[in-house]
Amino acid sequence: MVALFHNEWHAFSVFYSRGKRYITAALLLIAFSILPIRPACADDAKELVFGMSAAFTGANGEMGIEFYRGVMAYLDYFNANGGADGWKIKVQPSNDGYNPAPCFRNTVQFIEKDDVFALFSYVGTPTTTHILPLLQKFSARDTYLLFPLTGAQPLRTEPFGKYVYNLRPSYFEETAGLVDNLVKVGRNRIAVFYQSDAYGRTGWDGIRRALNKHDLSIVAEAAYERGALFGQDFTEEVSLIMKEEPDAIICIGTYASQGAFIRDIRNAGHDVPVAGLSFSDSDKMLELLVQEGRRAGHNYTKNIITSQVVPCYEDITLPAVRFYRELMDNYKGLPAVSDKAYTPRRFSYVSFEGFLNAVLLGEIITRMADAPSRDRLPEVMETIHDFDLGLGETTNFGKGRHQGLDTVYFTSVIDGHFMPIANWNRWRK
Amino acid sequence: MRAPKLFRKPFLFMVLLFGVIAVVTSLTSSNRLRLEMTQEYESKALALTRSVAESDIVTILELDAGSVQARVNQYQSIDGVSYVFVTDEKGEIIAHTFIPSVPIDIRELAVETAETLPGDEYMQRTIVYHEASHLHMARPILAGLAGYVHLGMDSSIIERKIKDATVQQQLLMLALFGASLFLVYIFFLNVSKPLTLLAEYAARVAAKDFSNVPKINSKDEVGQLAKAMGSMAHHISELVSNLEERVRQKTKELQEARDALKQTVEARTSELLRANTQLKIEIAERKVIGEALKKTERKYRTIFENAVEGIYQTSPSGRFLSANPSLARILGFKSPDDLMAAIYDIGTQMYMEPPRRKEFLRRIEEQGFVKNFVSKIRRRDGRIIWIAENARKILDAEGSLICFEGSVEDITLRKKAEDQLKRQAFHDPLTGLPNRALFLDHLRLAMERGRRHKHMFAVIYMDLDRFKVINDSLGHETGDELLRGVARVLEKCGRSVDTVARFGGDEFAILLEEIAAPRDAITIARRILDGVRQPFDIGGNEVFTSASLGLVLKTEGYDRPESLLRDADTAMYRAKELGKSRFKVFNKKMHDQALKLMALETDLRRAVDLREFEVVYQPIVRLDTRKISGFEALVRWRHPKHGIINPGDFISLAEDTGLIYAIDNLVLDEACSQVKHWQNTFNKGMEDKLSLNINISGKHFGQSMLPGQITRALDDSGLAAESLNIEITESALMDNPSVAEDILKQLKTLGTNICIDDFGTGYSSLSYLQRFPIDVVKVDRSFITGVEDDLDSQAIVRTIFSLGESLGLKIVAEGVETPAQLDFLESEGCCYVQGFLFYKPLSAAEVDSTLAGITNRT
Repeated sequence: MVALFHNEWHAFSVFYSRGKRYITAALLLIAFSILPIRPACADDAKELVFGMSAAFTGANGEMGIEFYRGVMAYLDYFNANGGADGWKIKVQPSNDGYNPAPCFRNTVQFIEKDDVFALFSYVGTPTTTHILPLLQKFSARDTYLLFPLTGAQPLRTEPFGKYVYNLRPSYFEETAGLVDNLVKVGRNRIAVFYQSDAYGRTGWDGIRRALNKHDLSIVAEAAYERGALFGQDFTEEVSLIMKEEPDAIICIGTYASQGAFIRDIRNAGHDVPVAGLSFSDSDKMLELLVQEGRRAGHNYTKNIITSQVVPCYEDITLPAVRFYRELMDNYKGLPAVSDKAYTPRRFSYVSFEGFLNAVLLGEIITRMADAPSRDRLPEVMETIHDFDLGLGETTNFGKGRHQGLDTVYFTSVIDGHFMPIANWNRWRK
Repeated sequence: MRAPKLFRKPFLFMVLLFGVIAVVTSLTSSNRLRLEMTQEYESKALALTRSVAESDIVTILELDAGSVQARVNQYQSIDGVSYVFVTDEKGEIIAHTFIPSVPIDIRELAVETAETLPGDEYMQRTIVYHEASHLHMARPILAGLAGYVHLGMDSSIIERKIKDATVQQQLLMLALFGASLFLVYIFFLNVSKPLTLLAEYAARVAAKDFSNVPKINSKDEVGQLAKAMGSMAHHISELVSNLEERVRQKTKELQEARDALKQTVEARTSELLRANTQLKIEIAERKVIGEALKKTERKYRTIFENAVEGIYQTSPSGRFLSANPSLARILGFKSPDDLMAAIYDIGTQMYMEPPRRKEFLRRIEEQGFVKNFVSKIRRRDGRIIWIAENARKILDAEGSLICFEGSVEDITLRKKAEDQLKRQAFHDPLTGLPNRALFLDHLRLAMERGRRHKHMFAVIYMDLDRFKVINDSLGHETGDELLRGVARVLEKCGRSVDTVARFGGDEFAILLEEIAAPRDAITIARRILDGVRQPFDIGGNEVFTSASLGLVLKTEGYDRPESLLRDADTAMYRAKELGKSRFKVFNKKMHDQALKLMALETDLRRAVDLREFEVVYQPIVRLDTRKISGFEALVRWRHPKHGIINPGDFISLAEDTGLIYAIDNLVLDEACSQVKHWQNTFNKGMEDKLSLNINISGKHFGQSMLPGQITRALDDSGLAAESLNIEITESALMDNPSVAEDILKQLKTLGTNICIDDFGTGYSSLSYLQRFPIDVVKVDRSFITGVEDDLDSQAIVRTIFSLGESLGLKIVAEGVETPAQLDFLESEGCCYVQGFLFYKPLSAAEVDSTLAGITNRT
């Protein structure tokens, strides 16, 4: 009788799961019939397609959107001006909501169905690190990931680093810069608030390593779960960290979580400096904190330090910044999958990074415009040497070097904007 | 409607059973679920830790915390996994999934694990995390050199699942339980409805209401019951109405019967009166019958008293209880009363041998009766008589002995007759002497006594000389009378202890017992010889006779009486050989001779088997031509030890033992084929063929098979019958003339010639020469030997020749040895001679060369 019961239950669950599968299949069919599928590389069109998986929705959605906008701002310009010897660059965006599994599916789709020229401008550490084995898997068709928005270590080391070309410096470089500067001003007791995933752990690891160089260690730490929204209450984490009376706190998180943490730590009456990484989309975070400060009648923007991997987009002495600002002002596009209610930001560190990515991509395609093919990518990448993106420093790739830039920029909020830090002695202890 | 009481117990039982099944099932299944899931969790945790430990060795080695974290996060999403973390080799955590931070005890556990866990094992532990029980699993990476993987799984999930499953199962069981009970209830109602109907109907039937039979159409046992009940009720109703009808009828009949009875009683009363009268008559009849019975009793008593046999009843102690007059008479008493008064112990007073009484009692005890129990009895007057008793035990109702009842018969006369018969069996009726059987019996007894007591005895064997002549000449009656006389003489000569017996014919034997010395026996033998020589006066004639006696004095050493008698017989024969009317004591030499004869006999038998005989041929010469006209075949025994033995030394023995037939046939066969061979070789085309004379023994001649044997010999050899002369002696012819005549005729029919051998020695009348178909006569050699100087012989030979001439017989002279004898014979007209003068007997090879010589000469 027990067995019979189990069987019935099992049968029911099978039916249910089948039903679910049928529904999914039906939805996919509909999607295919509606969406026109274009060939990734049609001869007549002379178009090269690049797959971009990023979060366009959710807790980190704004980041993907802005990144995409920066990319597209340049590419529209690039394509409009004849492309590379007639070759147009098309970026096909796909939303992964900052989650590894969808990102994986997107990537497979790009490679197998869309037959993209390369993967380009992925966003996020947990997502990007998750698809790395696919690059190995499809190495025979010369699948490369170009310029992802993450400073995580696995993209820069064996075994998968050889399939990835980064433009931005690594998180290790960012955290090391932060730690070195903080220690320099006497802030030795450093705590970490980090996202409980590969991104957070890489940042945590970078801090730990940097501290170890000074014979120090992390005094306190608290993790949070990926996907936390700004509304999340982090008072408990705050008290957990503050128990150890740190001199500074480094956040390895997203704009929403870091904003929420800063809010709660300030609300708890602590004015200890809180530092963040480039990935935290400082522009968005600042906006959230300003809004929250306005609501609560409290200034949450004090003592916030952020490391950046691109120069400040306000520094118009740089040719790249000027070009960026010009094109961004003219660009109004949004990725098809983003929230319609989104109001685009005029400028941001994220879109600027995307813009720079696109410029470099354009250059690469231009350099192989005679016969663009995937297998030529490493060869062409090696030719990018002392290349000037208009940043005041050159971009260098070469044999064994898969990262173009190394400079980390430190910014702090001044007059409602993140401005470069002129002097760390403000925070001397 | 309620279920009947009948089903209440099964219903309760089922409720209980279902309940127990439900409880037990849920308990065991939850227990099993717990076990299975715990195992599953453990193995899952183990597999997961191993997966982490082995799949990310590169990143872990590089201490790339980010990559490790990426991996670790994937594991956390697995169902049941609460936390995962990786430490370096010192136990410092490099990646974990705790939010916000690692609990202090787990951090300590990590350090402890790094310090204590061996590289090739894993650690499994149950810890409390977030107030819930967790299965904590730790496993070294690269044997702990690269660090450790820790994984926690929430055990409370197991409990929850078990609870869910149990609740679900119990709900299901409850539902099934309820449904089953409902079904059972419906089922019982369904089953019980017809039963209730039937029960109600049965109650109505009990009240004799047979209407409204319930209709139940099911085919099961209840349906059958209803059907059976319906038909039963129908039967019962029929039966009841039938019964009522019969009761009414029977009541009526009873009434009638009572009326009839009244009448019968009246009739019977008058009948009884009549019967009473009848009874009186019968009483009178009884008296008459009683009288008749007394008469009968008297009659039987008369039989008892007048029976010839003695009839008695005796007590076991040996006293007569009753006896009839016959018994008294047999035992020599005046009356039964005298008998009963005089004898108080039958055993000693009546039987001659008191043990007879004991024997009587023993037999009657064993068998319950005795039959024909013969005993010697002493009569009152002292006379001895023989009686035969038939008696039996008389027992009372309890089986204890009352008395013996029996009859006695005086068998004295019968006994005497029997003795007479016995005597006749062992005595010679002619002389009244013991016969051979009795003599041998006595002799055996004497030999046994002799062996025991060194008792000396002797045996005399006697045979009258020439008794045959007396018998033939004076007649059998005279012979018998003579024998009786001799018997009396012998009795007179013997002493009372000696046994004189007649063995038949004229042979007697005397056993001399208890003699002191051999001389006594010889004395008696002499007396006998003398007594027998005395003339016997028979029918007014004096008859003389004599006897030859053989004595055996040394009687020890014999096993069998027959051997002793044989030796006595041998001695007697010896006496006869020595000239009769004398006695001869058996001695060692005779014994040796007897033994020699026996040995010879044995040899002779062997000789026949081994064909140790050979045939020699004595030619018969025809005087006018001096040529061989034929042969007499003679047999020789070539004994392996004693050499050649002549027929005279073994023929009589061969005749006695019957071997003569074989020897004669042997000679016949061989000689016939031999002579045929000579005829073929030397007589081609000649008219007078060589003839063959064969001697046939007298004993053989009397056998009817002889002509057949001769025919066969002739056929086998091819010899013509007329070439063969069968030689027989006169005595062979005369012993049984009628048989001889018959056989001679048969031989003549075959074509053979008959030759009389040893003619003239038989003292018999020559008339047989005419009577029998004789062809040749051989003059006996004794006459031929005598012709030279004995005138008697000359006369006899001359007579024979003239007789032969007149009767047309061929005369052959044998034993011719000298020329003088030949001269005489030639002068008397003899044609054929045989003898050493011409030829001695020759072997076949010698004959061959002799004949060849003659043939060559001519």
